[in-house]
Amino acid sequence: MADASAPLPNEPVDEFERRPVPPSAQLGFKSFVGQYAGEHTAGTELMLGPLFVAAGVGAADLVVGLLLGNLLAVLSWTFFTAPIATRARLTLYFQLEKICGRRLVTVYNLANGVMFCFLAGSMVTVAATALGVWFRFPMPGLGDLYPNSVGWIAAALGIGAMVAVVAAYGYNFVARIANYAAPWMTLVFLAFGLIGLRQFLDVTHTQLHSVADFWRLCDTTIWKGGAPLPGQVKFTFWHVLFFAWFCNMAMHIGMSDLSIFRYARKARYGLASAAGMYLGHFLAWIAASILYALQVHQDPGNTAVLPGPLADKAAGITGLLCVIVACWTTANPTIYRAGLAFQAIFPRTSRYRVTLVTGMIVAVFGMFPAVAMKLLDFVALYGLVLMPMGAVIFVDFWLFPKTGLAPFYAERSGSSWNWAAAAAWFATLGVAVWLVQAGVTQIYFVSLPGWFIAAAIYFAGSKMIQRTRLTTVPAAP
Amino acid sequence: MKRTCQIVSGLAFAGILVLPVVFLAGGMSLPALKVWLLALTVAWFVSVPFWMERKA
Repeated sequence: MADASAPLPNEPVDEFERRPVPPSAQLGFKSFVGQYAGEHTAGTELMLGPLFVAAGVGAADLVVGLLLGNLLAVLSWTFFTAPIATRARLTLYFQLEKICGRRLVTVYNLANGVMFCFLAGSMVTVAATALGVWFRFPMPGLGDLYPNSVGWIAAALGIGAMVAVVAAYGYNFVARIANYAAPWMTLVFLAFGLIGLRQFLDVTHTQLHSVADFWRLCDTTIWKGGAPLPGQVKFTFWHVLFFAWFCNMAMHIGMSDLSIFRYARKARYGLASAAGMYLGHFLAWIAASILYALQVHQDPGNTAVLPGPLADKAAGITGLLCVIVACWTTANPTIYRAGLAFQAIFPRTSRYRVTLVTGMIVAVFGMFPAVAMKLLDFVALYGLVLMPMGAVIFVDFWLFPKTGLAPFYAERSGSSWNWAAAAAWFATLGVAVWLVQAGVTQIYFVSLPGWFIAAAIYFAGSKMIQRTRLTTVPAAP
Repeated sequence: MKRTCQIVSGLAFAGILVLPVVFLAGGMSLPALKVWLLALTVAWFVSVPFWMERKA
C-alpha cells in the first residue's frame, strides 16, 4: 500500500528529475524485488485482512481472488507502467507536466498530497491501536468514524506528531530502520498467520490429517462467507479480485511508478512487483484475516478491527512492535512525499516546514478512525482519483504517434493547462461518482470503465484541441 | 565482527521463521513462543545494522 513516486532524501543527489535516466544509473531486477517487497508490507495490511473477513468473504473467493487480482496488478505494472517508464525514463511529474502543463500538474499534486495524508493518517490510526494495548484506553469499533476517548486522541496525536517530526528532520534514520525491518516484518506477518491457525485448531478441536481437512477448516470456520458484519459491503470473488488488482491502481495503471521503473534496465522488471503483491497483499492479508476471524469466532460480539490487540494476542510484544514499525516506516515516506507534493504548490516554503505541517495534518486525520475503518472504500477511491491521469499518459504515449496526434501537447504548445487532460480527469471522476451514486456499479469496480472513459475523453479532446491550436506550433525537438 | 553479526542475523531470521511452524505443529506453548520471538527480534535488530547495506 505504499508509494514511492517522488525522490527521497536518502537517494543520490542527481535524481534525473527533468531528464531521462541515463544507462549508467539504471538498476537490475533484484533492486526492484527488494523495494516492492518492503514497500507493500505495510501497517495497513493489518487492517485490510480483517476487513475482508468483516465483509463476509468466503475461503475460495479470498484465496483465488487474491491470487488472480494480484496477478493482474503485477501484469499491470509489467505491461502498462514499465514499458512506458523504460522508454521515456521520466518521472511521473515531468511526463505529466509535458502533457498537461504546469498548472494542471499542480492540481494533480494537490490531489496526490491529500490522498497521501489520508493514507498516512490511517497508518497513524493503526499504530495507535498498539498503544491502546499498553495504556488500555477505549478504542474505536468497526463502525466508529470519530475518536471515542481522550486516550485515543492523545495516542493518535502523539504518534502523529512524532512521525511528523521524524519525517521532517530524521527521515534517513527511519529509512534505515525500514530497511532493517523489512525481512523481519514479513516473517512476523507469516508468524501471525501460523499462530492464528494453531489457535483455530485448538478452539475448534480440529485435527488436520489431510489438505481436505485444512480446507474444510478454512471454508467453514475461518472465511466462512455469508452475510457481512453490519455496515460492511458483502465481498464476493469479484470484489476480492478487483480490490487486489486496483488497490495500487494509482501506482500501476495510474502510472505513479513511472518514477520507479524509469531506473529499470528492462520493462519485464515490472514482474518484480510480484514480491510486494504476494508477500504483502496475499500472505500478510491472509495472516491478518486469520487473527481477526479467530477473534470473531471466540467472541462474535467483538467485531472491532484493532491491529494492536490482534497482534499482541498472537505474538506479544513482537507483534506490537511489528504494528508500530510497519506503520511508522510506511507513514514516514508517505508524509514526506505528501510534503513534496504540497511543496510544489508552495515552492518558497522550506521542505521541513511543509513536511512538518503535513505531518500535523496527518496526525489530526489519524485521530479519526473513519479512514482506517473504511479502508477498503478509501483505497478504491484513492486508485480512482489518480487513475485518469494514467489513462492520459497511456494514450499520449502509445496512441497519439499512431494516429497523427502530437504527444506532450503542453510542452509543444507552451500551455500550462491542457484542457483535454483536465476534461479526461474531471469528467471521468464525475461519471464514476454518478455511476456509484446511481447504484449502477460499486466503487470497487468503477475504475475499469473509468479508464476507458478517461482514455476516450482525452483522445477526443486532444483531437479537437490539436486541430484548432497546434497547427501553428512547431514540433518539439 | 561483520561475519558474526551476519550469523546472528541468520539465526534470528531462521528462528522467527521456524518457531511459529513448531508452534503450529504443537511443539511449544504460546507464552514460550512469544518470549522467543522477542529475543530473536532483539537479536535481529542488534545484529543487522552491522552488515546490511542501505538501499540507494
